[in-house]
Amino acid sequence: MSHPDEGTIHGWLDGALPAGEAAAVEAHLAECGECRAAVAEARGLIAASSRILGALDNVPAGVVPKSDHLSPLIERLRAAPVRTAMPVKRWPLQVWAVAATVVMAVGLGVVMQNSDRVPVAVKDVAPRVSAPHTVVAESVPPGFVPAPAAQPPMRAKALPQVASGAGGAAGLARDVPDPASVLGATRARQANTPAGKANDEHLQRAEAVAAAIVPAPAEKKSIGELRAADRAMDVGAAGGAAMAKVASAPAAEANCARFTLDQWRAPSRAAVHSVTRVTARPGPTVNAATTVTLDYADGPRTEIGAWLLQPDTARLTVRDARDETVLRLLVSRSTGSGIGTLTSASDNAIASAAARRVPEGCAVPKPE
Amino acid sequence: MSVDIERLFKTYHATLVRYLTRRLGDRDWADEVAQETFVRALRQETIVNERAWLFAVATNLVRDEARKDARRRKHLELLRQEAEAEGEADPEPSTLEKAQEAAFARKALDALAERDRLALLMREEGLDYKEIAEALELSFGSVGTTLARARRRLAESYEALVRERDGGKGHVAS
Repeated sequence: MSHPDEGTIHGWLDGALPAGEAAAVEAHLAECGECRAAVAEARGLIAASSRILGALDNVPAGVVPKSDHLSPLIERLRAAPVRTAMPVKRWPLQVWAVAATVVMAVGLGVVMQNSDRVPVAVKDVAPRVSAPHTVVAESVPPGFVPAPAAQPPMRAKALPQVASGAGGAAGLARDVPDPASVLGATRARQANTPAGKANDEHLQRAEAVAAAIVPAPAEKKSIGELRAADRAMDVGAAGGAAMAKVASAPAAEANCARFTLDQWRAPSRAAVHSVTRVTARPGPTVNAATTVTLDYADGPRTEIGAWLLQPDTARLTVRDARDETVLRLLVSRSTGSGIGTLTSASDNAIASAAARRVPEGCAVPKPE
Repeated sequence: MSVDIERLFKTYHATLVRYLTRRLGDRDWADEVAQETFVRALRQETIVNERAWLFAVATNLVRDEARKDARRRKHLELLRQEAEAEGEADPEPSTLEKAQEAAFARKALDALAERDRLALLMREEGLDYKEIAEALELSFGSVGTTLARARRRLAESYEALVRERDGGKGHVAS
């Protein structure tokens, strides 16, 4: 055999050569000092490359633009609807997915916001915040005077419009299997009066939240539940006390999703806290944000998270402000199972666990 | 019969995120791309060569996004520079040293041709030559040559940066 070239030497060291070729290289090396030196050098290069690349793992998390973080995804969803086996049946889901994505941008903006910059959408939402301790409230610019918690005249006016809007949108989605026209209608509505705009946003949020937390129901059922959720969200918007009522009402219970997480696996340097259970309820604010209770070994903790819907999957992102970990749930909307990941900002550890939706929902076991 | 997403995720998520983090230099972005990759996997009826498929899809997602989103990269770069500028005020030498190592590694990696870079990063995540060939649409026979060139150039660029530093003004006086 003539001297093996550098590529062959690397292939041999990587164990990628066919048996015959590998044997020929070995036989050659036994009698060629020059090639043994080349092998030694190649070994050095392989080790050096691994070491150099290892230095890249020391990357801070959280270095992402905060406001337009999801815009590429939105654009992609708008531009290229997902190809599925039954596109006509799937349109309504896709429309919701787009609406959810739009709303998710607001939700994420709220969740991830830690600077003084407030996206326009968040500003629009902020005056309706009723719970002073929420993240949304914190992101309100300095000097902002919150509107009174209850705004009966406005809400009373808004309710019937929202209800009819929900019917209208569901009808569109069902009857016109053309996402472009639905989106066009959505965009056209956005350009309407401020009240119309608020209603539209409200509608989108309600759709998104309801669809997100009721993973992959049958189409007809989901529309019915959407409307129920829409009504529930309206009640929820009125304030914390009303919200408590909603939480115990059957409609709201149906909109609560609970997942168990088990067998956390932490392949690298993990110092993350393991979450055993995640409960997502409609949030105290009227946006895609959802109230998420994270059950840690040392007790539960409540944070605000956000859903992102795609035709087949629902994703929940929630940042635990206490130790800056980010929990992401990615679950199939048809089976309710999937995975959870925990990312720790402090040491870049990632851990993952199997996630399963609890079929009995969020029902609290009755005390004996 | 669709793919077993749970098993796929358990098996490949960590390595895919590391690959993407090294490729992108940003953990959150890497997480997003990894998730999007698994979402795509969920829509597949079957995947024959899982690891090669996942890495190929992730690589394409990054390519698409990078093409569309030069603005975002610029923003990231600015944020990173800000973080580095803040880091310079940090007197702790080990942190500084680590940051510098990472910066050199990033520079050396960025200096590689795209195909060399991807092949090397995939190999580091344990993909075999057949998988790399499939993911990057290379011939099997050229993977060894590609990797040899990538490793040599990476090491040489990195060493050059270290030499430059040591020959230049060096560390800030301690």
